[in-house]
Amino acid sequence: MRIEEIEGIVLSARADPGGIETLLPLLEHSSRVYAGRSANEADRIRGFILASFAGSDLSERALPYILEELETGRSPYSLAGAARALHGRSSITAETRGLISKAIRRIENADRIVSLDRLSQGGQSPGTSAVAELRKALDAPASHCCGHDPRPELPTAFPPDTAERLGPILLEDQDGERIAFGDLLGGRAAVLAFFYTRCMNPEKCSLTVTRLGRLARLAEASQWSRPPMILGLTYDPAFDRSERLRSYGAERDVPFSRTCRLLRTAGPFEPVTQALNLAVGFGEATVNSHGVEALVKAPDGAMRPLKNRRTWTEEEALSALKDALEEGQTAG
Amino acid sequence: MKASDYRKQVEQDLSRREEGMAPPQGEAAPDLEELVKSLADSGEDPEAREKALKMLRAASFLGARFNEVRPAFVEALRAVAVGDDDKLRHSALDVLSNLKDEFAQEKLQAGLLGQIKPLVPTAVALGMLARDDHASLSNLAKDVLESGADKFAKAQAARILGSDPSAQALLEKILGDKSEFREVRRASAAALNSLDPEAFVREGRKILEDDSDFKDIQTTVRGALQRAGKPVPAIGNAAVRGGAGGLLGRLFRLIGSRGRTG
Repeated sequence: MRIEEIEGIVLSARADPGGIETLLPLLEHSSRVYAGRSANEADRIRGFILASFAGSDLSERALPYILEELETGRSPYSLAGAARALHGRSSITAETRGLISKAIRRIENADRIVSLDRLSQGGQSPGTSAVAELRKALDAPASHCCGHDPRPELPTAFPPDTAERLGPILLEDQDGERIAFGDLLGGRAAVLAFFYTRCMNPEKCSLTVTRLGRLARLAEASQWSRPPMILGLTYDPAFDRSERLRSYGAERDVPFSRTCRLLRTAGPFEPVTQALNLAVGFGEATVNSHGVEALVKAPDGAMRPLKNRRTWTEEEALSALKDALEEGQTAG
Repeated sequence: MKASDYRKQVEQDLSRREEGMAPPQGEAAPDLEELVKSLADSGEDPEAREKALKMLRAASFLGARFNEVRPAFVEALRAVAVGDDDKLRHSALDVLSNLKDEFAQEKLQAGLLGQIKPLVPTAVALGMLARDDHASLSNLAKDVLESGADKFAKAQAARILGSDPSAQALLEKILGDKSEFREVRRASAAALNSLDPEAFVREGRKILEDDSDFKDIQTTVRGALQRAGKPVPAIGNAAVRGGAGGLLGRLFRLIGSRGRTG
C-alpha cells in the first residue's frame, strides 16, 4: 500500500465519527499497512494511526496498544502518537503517568519534531516534539480510582489445538540440534518467548532473553520433578542461525541446557505466526515492528499469553509456570 | 562481555564525556540556540554554518543540556540536507544517517530511485542508508547490482545485501562471477560470510581451486577462511604447481581477458 493510500484511510476515519473503529486492526504489528516497510516508516504510520484516537470514545479499546507503546516504544513518532491518543481523557491513572514519565526519559535524547496531522509529507510538516506531546499528556488530571488502567477483554487463551498445530514444526537450537516443536514441548510446562538478534530496542528482545536466562535459574532452583522448558524463538530464523543464537544468549547469561534453549524454525516462520497470531511485522529483510510476546504452556497443552502486550518479569513468569503446573495436577 | 556490563560501561562513558564537555570554569558555554539558528540560516556564510554544525555535533553528547535544542537541531539538519551547498548537504546527511533519521532515508532513497535530483552520489547514498539494518533496502540494492552502476555503488549494494538472507543465492553468484568488478566480488564475499559462513566456505574453496581466478580475490578468500579457522585447500596457482596448464592461466590474467577492474 502506498503511504498516500494509508493516509487517506486514516484521515477518512478521523472525519467519520463511526470510522475510528476501523483503525483498531491497523494497530496490530502484523497489519498489512506495515508490510515490507522500513522500521522507521512503520513507526511513523503507527504513530499517525494512534493519534487518531485522541478524544475518541474508542480510546479505551486502543488503550492496550497505547500503553504498549508508552512502555517500550523508542520512536518519537509512535510515542507522540500514543501520547496524543490520551488527549481528551478525563483522567489518567498513576500507572499511565508512570509510563509516560519513563517514555520521556527514554526519548528525550532522541527527540524530534513530529507531525501527526499528515503522513505523506516526509516529516517536514510543522508539529510539536514527541517530548512536548508526552508532557501534554501528563497534564490530564490524575484518576482517583485504583491507580491501574482497566484491562479491556482480550483473548486469554489460545485455541485448544494450538499446541497440536505447532507440533510438526521443525526447530533448531543454539547448538544446531533439530527437534520438532511437539517433541520439544512434550507433556511439560513451558514458557516460550519471542525475540530476534537484530532488535535495536533494548527494552524488548535483549531484555526478553536476559529474563529468560534469569527465569531458567529460578526454575532450576524450584527443583520441580519435571523441569519446565524455558525457550526463546526467533522471529528471524533465516538470519539468526544457531551460532548467532548461541552468542546472543551467552552474552545475556542464558544457562543453556536441555530445558533452556534459544531456537529458530528450520523452515519458514509463517506457520508459527499463523498458529499464534504473533504481533510481528516484517520489512524487506527483517522484522520492522513487534511487541513483547511470551506464552505459557501447561503440561496438558493449554497455552495462553504470559501478559497481554506488556513486559513481564521472571518472577511473573515463574508464578505463571507454577499456576500452569498446579492446574495440570488438579485436572489430572 | 555481558550485555548488562556493556550497558553500564556505556553509561559511565557518557557521564564522563558529559563532564569533559562542560566548559572550564569561568568560560561561557556555547549558545546552542544561536548555533542552531546559524546552521539553519541559508543566508549565512557556509563556513560559519559548517562550523556551527561541528560544534553542535560535539555538543550533542552533552545529554540534558542539549535536549532542549535537539529537535530544532534535527530540523535544521533536515533543511540543510536538501539545501544547495554540497559540502553542508553531505555533512548534514552524514549526521542524520548516523541518527537513522527517516527524513534523510526517504530523501536518499528518492534520489536513488530518480524521484528527485540525487543529494549525494549513489555509492555515498547507499553507504549512508546501509547504517540502518532496518531500512528495507534489499530491493533497491538488487536493482543497483543489476543496473549499470559504477563499481563503488555495486559494492555498497552487495554490502547491504549482507543483512538479507534471501539474497544469499545472488551473493554466491556474484562471488563466483569472474566477469564482475573485483571490488563487488570482495564485498559479496564479506556479505556472504556474514549471512552464512558455511556457504562462504563452500564458495570460497571453489575460488581457491580455480586456477583462472584472480589472485587478489583468492587472497581475500584465503584470509577470511584462515581467520575463521577453516582449512584452506593447497594453492591452485600455477606459479606453485607449475606446468603448462597453470602457465596459460597466468597468461590469461596478464592479458586481462577475464574480469574487470573498472
